[in-house]
Amino acid sequence: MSKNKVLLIAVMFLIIFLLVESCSRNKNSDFIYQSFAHIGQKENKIIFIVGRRRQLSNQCNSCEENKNFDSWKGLHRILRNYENVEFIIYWPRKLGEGMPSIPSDSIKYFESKEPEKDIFLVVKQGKILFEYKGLLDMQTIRYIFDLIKE
Amino acid sequence: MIQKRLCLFFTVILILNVLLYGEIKRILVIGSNEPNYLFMTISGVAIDENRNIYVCDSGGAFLRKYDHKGNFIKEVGRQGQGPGEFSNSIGPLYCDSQGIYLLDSLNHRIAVFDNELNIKNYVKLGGLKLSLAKVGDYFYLLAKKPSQPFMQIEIYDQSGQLISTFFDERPSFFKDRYFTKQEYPVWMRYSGITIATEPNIKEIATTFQYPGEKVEIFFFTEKGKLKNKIELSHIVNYKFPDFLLKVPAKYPDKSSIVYINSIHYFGQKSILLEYWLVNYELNTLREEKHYLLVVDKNSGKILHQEKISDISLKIMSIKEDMICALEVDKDIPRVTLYKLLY
Repeated sequence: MSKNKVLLIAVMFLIIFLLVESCSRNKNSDFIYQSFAHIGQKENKIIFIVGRRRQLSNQCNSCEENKNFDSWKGLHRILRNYENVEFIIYWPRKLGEGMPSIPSDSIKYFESKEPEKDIFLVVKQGKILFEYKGLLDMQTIRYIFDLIKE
Repeated sequence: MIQKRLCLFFTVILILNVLLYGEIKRILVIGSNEPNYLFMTISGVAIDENRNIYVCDSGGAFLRKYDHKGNFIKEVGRQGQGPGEFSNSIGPLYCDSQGIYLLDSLNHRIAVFDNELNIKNYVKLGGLKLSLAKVGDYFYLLAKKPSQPFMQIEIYDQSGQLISTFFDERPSFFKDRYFTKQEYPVWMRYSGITIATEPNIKEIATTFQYPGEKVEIFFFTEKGKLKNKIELSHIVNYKFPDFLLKVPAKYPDKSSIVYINSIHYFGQKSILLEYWLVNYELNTLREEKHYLLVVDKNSGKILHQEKISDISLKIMSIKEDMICALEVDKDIPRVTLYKLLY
């Protein structure tokens, strides 16, 4: 077999290997957030880790990301009277200063690459009791509400 | 004698003003910080024959039923693509004697429910649709015209089969113009339309959301044949600002834009328009004025004009004399039912 053929086969194998490697990686699991549960003042926390935002030329009313800001406001409204709950937002530094006006007890900035989807954590007595990724729908809000009330 | 006549004259004027004066009266409010009354992004409201109220929320991915007093009955839905699940782009909602219809555009379907919010079936659709209405057995959906920056109305049967399309008009400021690739999104934006249906007379009405020198309302049969068109004058001296069609738009020191958010049949003889007048200084929004106009559907005459002080109010649907609106009060989204008396 000529040298060129061997080289070509090697390059092909390398490409296939890299493709398989990138497909098998779960992008969200690259985002380490367990340490985020240990900050804050209160025993019970609800944490919103803001994920990737698309660059849009026009306002996107159906974007999951924007809907989650409204859902977070809703969650805050039903739980804000519970004194032992703290609301914490993690905002990726990469997104700059464009954070919308959403309620929280504290905002933390992180430097690492943001997760693909928004992540919501419910922390009770220092332990992550519930984690959720994606659109925060009403069913999930009800579940979080019941968890905090217990 | 002259004094007596003057007194009589002013009394008559006062009585006439009282008689002609309209009143928008709040009937019911639904929305609070309790879970069963919590809303995030209300995207559709409809009322059935028993005055039960159905509300869909695209942020929370749910559909709820309340009774005529606003008491919570039931909630269905969660985020997803499967049975009983909704995308984050649901709404609007339509209700008739055959069921409750919810447009789930990102899942490319209409979800059909009975009055107890049990799913009856799904009507599969192709492509993204922007609005939903119904007359008899036909659905009327708004969609983008293929390869053109304009909208069209599509008629579908109950199985999701496309029957035909109609409405080939352009706003007056687009006539005799040609768009470039760069201008395409701008043309898309300013050629938006809104529709309303009246099943009792099997009629569809539509108007441009950004009108030209006159507000034009077109009336069609259920098969999409043009019946007639009316024009009504603006409530202010107005011409569509041409600078908006340029890319990038160069705002002058002061400008105004009229926007029709929605139209609705108000009985069979009149149309209600949600009419917005937005004033800018350069490209900064300075003032928004919101009006409800009731218009005679034969003559185009404005029968009643109501200024709305709450700019968050948006009309979602009208059932007989009940106006279903969404409002935001102290950051709490609410469904409010009104009666317009005039």
